[in-house]
Amino acid sequence: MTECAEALVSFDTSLAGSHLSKILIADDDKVNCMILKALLSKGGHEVVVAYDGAQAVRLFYDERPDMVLMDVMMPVMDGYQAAREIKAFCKDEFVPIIFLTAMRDEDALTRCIESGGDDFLNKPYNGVVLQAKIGAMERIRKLYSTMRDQKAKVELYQSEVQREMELASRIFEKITSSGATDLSCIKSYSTPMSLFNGDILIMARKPCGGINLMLGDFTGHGLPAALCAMPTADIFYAMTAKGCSICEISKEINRKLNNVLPTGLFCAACLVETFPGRQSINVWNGGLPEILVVNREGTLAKRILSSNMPLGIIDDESAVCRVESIDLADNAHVFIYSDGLIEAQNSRDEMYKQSRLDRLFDGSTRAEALYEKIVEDVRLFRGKAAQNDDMTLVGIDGNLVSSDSLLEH
Amino acid sequence: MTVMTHIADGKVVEIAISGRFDFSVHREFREAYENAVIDTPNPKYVLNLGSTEYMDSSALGMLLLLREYAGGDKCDIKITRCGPEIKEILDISNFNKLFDIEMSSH
Repeated sequence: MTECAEALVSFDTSLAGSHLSKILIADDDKVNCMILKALLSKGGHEVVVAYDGAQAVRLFYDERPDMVLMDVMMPVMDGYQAAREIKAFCKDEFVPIIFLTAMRDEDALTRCIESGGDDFLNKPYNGVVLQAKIGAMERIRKLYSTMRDQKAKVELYQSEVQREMELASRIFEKITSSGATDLSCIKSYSTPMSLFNGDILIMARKPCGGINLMLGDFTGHGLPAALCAMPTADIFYAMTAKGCSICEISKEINRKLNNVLPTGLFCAACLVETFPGRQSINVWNGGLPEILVVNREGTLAKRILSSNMPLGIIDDESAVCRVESIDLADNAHVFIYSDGLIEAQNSRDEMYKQSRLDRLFDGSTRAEALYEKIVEDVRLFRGKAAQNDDMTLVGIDGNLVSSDSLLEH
Repeated sequence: MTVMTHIADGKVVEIAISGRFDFSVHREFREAYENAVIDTPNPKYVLNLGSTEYMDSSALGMLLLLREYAGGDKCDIKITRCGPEIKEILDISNFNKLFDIEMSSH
């Protein structure tokens, strides 16, 4: 009793902060309830009292207290069951329950915690210790509710961003897929790692026959990459429609990107041009991994290394445009890919690497089946690992290039 | 610590990057050259990539940012001790036209 009296005097209201919690006391010992209520009210808390477990649960629904002090042995419903029902009702809200019990055996104390109790205190309790525990729980509860509020804010923000991204993504898709999509000589596979692809693949027919194709890989992913893709696609389509060569197109895109992109953002790209009635293609590579030319037996005939600067880094009018011509006679195939393919990681953080890709061209798979083989091999390698970059693969079938390049009627 | 900075004679800023050179060191890398205390308006930069295991395209972007910071076309940046894989990544993007690149001796 003297301890309680002391506590009554020395109750530190600053512990509870600006908003003092409302406390539910559940105890069938009415004297005990009275003392507790006096102690807590003196400290500034609003107090509600229940004399059995069932009443405690009912009062909890009606009064929504912030904290519960719970006796274990009570008539009608014991403290364990009352705690379970209260915790089930609270779901993700944190309402601390402190058990006040005369029982001292470990089993009983374990049951307190198992039924949802957050702490316990043995009777007869020391008032100062009880207040310290209430203060500590108060802090945890506040921390918890701040966290919950912030989580709700983040979730709301996230869903807003998601909605905007989806709208922008529809615009992006419309722009990048407005060119020729019916070309039988081209197979492509693209897996963006976010809603927007940092890789773009665009193709269009030239007015006098022939096709222009561009695979671009922008630094980064998501919205910034997609924003850069839009002027790129616009220039590509407009200049292709005028019959411009890939050399002229690459220069113009470079000029534009160099103007609009902040330093550090650029586009590694490959441009391909086909001509009506010809089985050779022109290739411009600026910053993409080596382009592979494979003969009909499926062995590597040639690698076209990047010999131009990626787009959007420097504006150099005098820079030489290096375009290679590749003869695709006799059913040769060409494979172009972004670095996301050779840098695909498995769950052990190992990279797929160029060397593993090269091994597929050992002659065991004929050229026309290699495209599917590469897609499958990368898929097998990655297993269940999360994707770490946008990945695009383009296969060009030399056999079909000249027929696709004919003018449409 | 993956980005280490050493300043020689108040004129040469040497930055060494170990492990993965990617977006995760973006801030450290920028701070390394922005916070370097130097006593010349045109310092020389040496990037030691001797213990860099991997570089991605955002690292290439970071090199371009350093280049701009160091004066663009007038900058003096040397990339040293590149292993074959790092050299290849720099070569693919033709960065040898923008930077002085040195391979590792062993």
